[in-house]
Amino acid sequence: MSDAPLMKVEHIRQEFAVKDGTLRAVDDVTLTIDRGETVGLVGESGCGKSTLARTVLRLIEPTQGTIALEGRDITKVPQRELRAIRHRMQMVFQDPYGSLNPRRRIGAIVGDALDLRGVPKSEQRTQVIAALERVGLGIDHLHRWPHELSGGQRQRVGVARALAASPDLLIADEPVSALDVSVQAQLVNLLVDLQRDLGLAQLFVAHDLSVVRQVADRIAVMYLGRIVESGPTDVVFARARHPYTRALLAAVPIADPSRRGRQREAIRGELPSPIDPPPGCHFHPRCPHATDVCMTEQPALWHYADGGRAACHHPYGVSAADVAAASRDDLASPAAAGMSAPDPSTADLADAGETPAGAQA
Amino acid sequence: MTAPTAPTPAGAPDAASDLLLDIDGLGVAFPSERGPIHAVRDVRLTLRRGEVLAVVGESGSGKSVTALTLLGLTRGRGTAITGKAEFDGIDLIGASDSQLRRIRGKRIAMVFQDPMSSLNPVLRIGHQIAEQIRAHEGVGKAEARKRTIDALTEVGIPRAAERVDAYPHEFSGGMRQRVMIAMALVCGPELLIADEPTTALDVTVQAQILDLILRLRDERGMSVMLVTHDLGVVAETADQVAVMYGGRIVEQAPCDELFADPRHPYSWGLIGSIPPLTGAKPEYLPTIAGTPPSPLALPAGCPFRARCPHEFEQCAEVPPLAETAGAPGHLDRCWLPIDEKRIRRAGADGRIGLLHDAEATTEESA
Repeated sequence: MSDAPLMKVEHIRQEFAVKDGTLRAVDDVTLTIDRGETVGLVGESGCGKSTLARTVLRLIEPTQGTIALEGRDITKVPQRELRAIRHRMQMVFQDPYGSLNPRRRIGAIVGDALDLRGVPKSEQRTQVIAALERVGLGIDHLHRWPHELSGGQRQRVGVARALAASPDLLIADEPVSALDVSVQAQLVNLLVDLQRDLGLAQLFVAHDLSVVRQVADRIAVMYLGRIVESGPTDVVFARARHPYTRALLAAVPIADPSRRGRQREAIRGELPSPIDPPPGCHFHPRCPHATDVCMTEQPALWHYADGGRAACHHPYGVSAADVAAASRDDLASPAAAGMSAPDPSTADLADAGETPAGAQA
Repeated sequence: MTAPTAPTPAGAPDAASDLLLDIDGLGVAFPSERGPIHAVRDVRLTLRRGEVLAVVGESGSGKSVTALTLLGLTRGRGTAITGKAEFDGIDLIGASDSQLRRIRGKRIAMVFQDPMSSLNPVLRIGHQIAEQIRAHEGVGKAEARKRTIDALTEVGIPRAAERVDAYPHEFSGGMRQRVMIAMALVCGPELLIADEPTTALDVTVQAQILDLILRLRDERGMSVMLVTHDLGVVAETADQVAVMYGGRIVEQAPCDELFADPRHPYSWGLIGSIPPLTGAKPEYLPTIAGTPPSPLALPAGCPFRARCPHEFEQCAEVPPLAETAGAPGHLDRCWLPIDEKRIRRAGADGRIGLLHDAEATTEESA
């Protein structure tokens, strides 16, 4: 086995032609997922996270960039050949109602994944039962119809179907957001278990930051098609450097009334249109700290010593020493050479906690 | 835990005497081929002027049916609505449809979860809002338009004078929800019923909309009944909370009190199953086994007993919604004695109790 990461997508660009021009849903995104690692991909609706997840599977063909599975470039592999490796990357969808064929029994739905792998029919029943048991269902669900199951049970079937293919990578797009709160926690625990017991790598796409914190080893935050911050989950939650990440974290309602009234950095305005995104840093029109450079120059994704990365000209809590020690992704664009280094002058803002200077309470 | 501090809602100087909504023994049963479906049973709620009451529950808990019933929106052939629901002394259950029409949109307004399907896609939003003003108040077109623009400005829609002529599809989800709120508020209602008003929105937009609702409550002394499944939203906004399960209220308390000292095992589970955003990460989230029951197949007795790890013989009977001595205003529907509850809760999930945990533990050991 090579040293290459399980999955690496580089400089992915995904464009769609729309009436008013080109919608760039994903803009030069590079992301790796190691074996057994869960990567959380977060952002608000329209940020491109679901598009990126589908591109990784080549459910959508990328406009530009490469997708490599264990070092093997699969970007141009023909669909027929792709089918032979697709069982290694399986997807769980958001909607437990829309993603199961209502006219097929649970056993047949899960069994399809085995056909993909060429498992003989005679062995399928045992493996289907094993997959169902793995997700907390059982033999008595084999002959049931999707409509007989609750939302949580259907989502378990969705996971079982993915597992039956014996994948190395599970791509889960908002797998719990359609479920009731008490059922969400059950699914979250199941996904954590799968990572632990089967060493399954996951790309977990979600808008709910508290759920992502529970399951992910690393997270990447997207805004208007770009990754603006990434890093080990603990680093990003404890020391978010990008003002967008901080605003996103501050906006999550906390189930503790004693923390009500805490000052929060409210985010201004709404997501601009991805068809005509703002120049420079996409976030600058909504950012409390934007300066002239932010309006003209796209910030590079700087790598800091603690493993965190942030694409911001004025990151939080970054000292001059941090900047000196920072490195940078090899940008495809030669213009990258002329980019400015992050400005350490906002370093002291980190002490201000949730109320950085200039923020709107 | 000793007497909770009663919340003093802003804009209501003499809250105790200012009862706006009084619901008692409310029941709603829908007809079905298999007999009546009891969606709501024996609901008792009060709401004072300027207060935010959160009604929390999962699908099928009866929270939305309760809200819709107040506006007469569950009326229909064969629907049995029983009990009392009085708004400022007006009987909402017995009121005729035309009486209700005069109240609805004028004194009680509603905001729904999905702003896209609640707006008419082929009519300009200004037209839809102005229609409401003209239906309730005998004002001219020009006056209605001016008030519509004012209302849109008040809820934070930029360039309201231009946007008033836009169609719903020209707005983002968050802006559409602002339009819905402007429409709800344009006649100056005393009560706003908001059913999952932010569920379809992103968190940053959700925070803006909740802040907006709270600001309007403060400025106008309006009461809010917030129907939601999200305990985070509840903790950020509510003065009073009612937790519903299987059509019944299972716990009711001032907001601080509910999170600090939840009494019903279902509340423990709900609070416990939220992944924390800060602090230590639990290895596993505490969960409630099973799924919320369908109103078609509720167990006899306590509605939660099928999923409750603390079930015992007495649960075959429905427990009363009872107040515990020493905690006025904190009611729950569970047979376990209060001391037993505290012991079991500590065993069920150490994280529940939040910041008041130390205090609660001290009292337990005393």
